[in-house]
Amino acid sequence: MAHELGFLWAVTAVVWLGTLAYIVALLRRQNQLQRELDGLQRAMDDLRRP
Amino acid sequence: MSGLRSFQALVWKDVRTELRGGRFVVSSLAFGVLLILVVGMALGGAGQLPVDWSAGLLWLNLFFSSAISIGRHDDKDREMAGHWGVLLAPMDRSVIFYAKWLTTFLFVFVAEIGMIGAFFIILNQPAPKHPLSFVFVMLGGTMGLTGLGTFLATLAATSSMRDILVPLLLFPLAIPMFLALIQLTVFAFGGISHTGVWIQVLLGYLTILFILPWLLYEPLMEV
Amino acid sequence: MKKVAYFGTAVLGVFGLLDIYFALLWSPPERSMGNLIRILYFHVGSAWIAFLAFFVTFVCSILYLLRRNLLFDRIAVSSTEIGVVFTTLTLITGSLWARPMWNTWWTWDPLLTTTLILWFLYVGYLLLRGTMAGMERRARISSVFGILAFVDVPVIHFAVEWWRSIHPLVIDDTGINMPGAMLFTLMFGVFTFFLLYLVLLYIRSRQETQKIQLYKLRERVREIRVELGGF
Repeated sequence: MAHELGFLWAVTAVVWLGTLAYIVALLRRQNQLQRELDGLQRAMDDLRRP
Repeated sequence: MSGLRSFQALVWKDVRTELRGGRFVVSSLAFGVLLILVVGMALGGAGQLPVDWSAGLLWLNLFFSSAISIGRHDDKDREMAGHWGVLLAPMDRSVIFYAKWLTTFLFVFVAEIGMIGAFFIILNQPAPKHPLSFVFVMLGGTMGLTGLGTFLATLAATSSMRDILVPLLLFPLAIPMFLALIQLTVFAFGGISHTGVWIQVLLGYLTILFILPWLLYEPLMEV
Repeated sequence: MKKVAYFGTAVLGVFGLLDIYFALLWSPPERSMGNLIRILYFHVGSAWIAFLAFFVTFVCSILYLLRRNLLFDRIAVSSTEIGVVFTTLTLITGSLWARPMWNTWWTWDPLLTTTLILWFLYVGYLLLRGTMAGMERRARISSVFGILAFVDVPVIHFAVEWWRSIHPLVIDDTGINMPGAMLFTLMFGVFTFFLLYLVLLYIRSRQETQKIQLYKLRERVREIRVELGGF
C-alpha cells in the first residue's frame, strides 16, 4: 500500500508542478516580450528625437 | 457559368492533367504496394493472419498512403500559379472542393485497386466472404478518406509544414471512420456476423463531409 | 494587467492550497482503493479544464468567423494552449492511476483513448497555426479547424466506446462509492481548476495581445527607419 501511495505523490507532483512549470513559462515569455517592447520603445524615441 | 458546368470543367481539367502525364496515380500506387510489401516483411512473412488484424492492416495502409499522397493533390495546379485561375472563376467556391473530391477519389481508387490486389496476393489473404459488401466498404471508405483528406489538404495548403500536417490532422479526425471501416471489412471477410452500428458511423461521416465543406469552404478559400 | 492578475493569482493560491488539503488530507479514503482515490481529484480537475478549454476554442472559432474580430482568435489560441497542457497532465495522471490499479501503464479505456486523440487534434491545431503566415488567414484557418475538431470529439468518443465494447478487456471501470465528503472534494477540486483556467486564460490572452502590439510596433519602427533614409 505504501508503494502504491508513491503514485499519489507522483500525480500530485505532476499536476501541481506541471501547472507551475506552465505558469513559469508564461511569465518568462512575458518578461521577454516586455524587454522587447521596451527596446522598441527606446528605438522609437531615438528615431523621433533628432 | 452554372455550378454543374463549372464542376464538370474542373473535374475534366484534373483528369486530363493526370492523363497527360500526371504522377499522382502512379506514385500513390507504387507507394501503396510498397507499403504492403514492407508490412508483410515486418510481420515476418506471416500467412494466415486473423481477420481482425488483416482488415486493420489493409486500412492502415490505405489511410497512410492516401494521407501522404493527398497533400500533393493540387501540386499540378500550383505549378504555374494555375490555382489562381480556378479561384477567379465566377462560381461558388465550394464547387472547387466537390470537384477536387471527385477527382481525388477517382485517382486514389485506381491506386487502391492495385493496393488491394497486392494485399490479397502478398499477404496471402483468402477471398472475402461477402464480396459485394467488400466492394461497398472500399468505395465508401475511399469516399470518406478522400473527402476529409481533400478538405484538410486545402486547410493546410498555406502552411510550411503541410506534408506532415495532412496525415497528422487526418488520422485523429478520421478515427471513428477508421474503426468503422475496419469492423465493416471484418464483416465482409466473414469474421463477424453483423455490422452493428458501424454502417451508420460511415454514412454519418459521408453525410457530414457532403454538408460541412459547403458551409466552411467560403471562409477557407478567402485569400 | 498587473492588479487583476495578482488578485486572481492570490485567490487561486488560496483555493489551490485548500484543494490540496481537502484532497490529500480531509477527504476519506475509499473502501477498495484506499488513499489512491485521491488521484482522482487532480485527474478529473485537469480533464475538466482541458475539455472546457477546447469548448472555449470552439466557441471563439465560431465567433471569429462570424465577427472577424481578432480578439476571439487570441482567446482561441490561448485556450487551446492551456487545453493541451492540461490534456497532457490528464494523460500522465491517468496513466499513473492505471498502473497501481490494474498493473498496466495504458488501458484502452474510452475516456483515456479519446483524451489521447484529443491531444493529437489540438497539438495539430497549434502546429497548423505556428506554420502559417498572415494574421487573418491564420485566424480563419485555425477557426475552421477548431470547429471541425470539436464537432468530431463526441463522434470519436462514441466510436471508441462502441469499438471497446467489441473487445472487452479484463480491465473494467470499477464502480466508485462516493460519500458526501468525497463528492464535495471532487466538486471543490473542479471549481479550483476552473479558477486556474480563468487566471491562465487571462494571462495568456493578454500576452497574445501584447505580442500583436509588439509586432505592429516593430513594423512601425521599420517604416520610420525607411522613411528617415533607409538603414
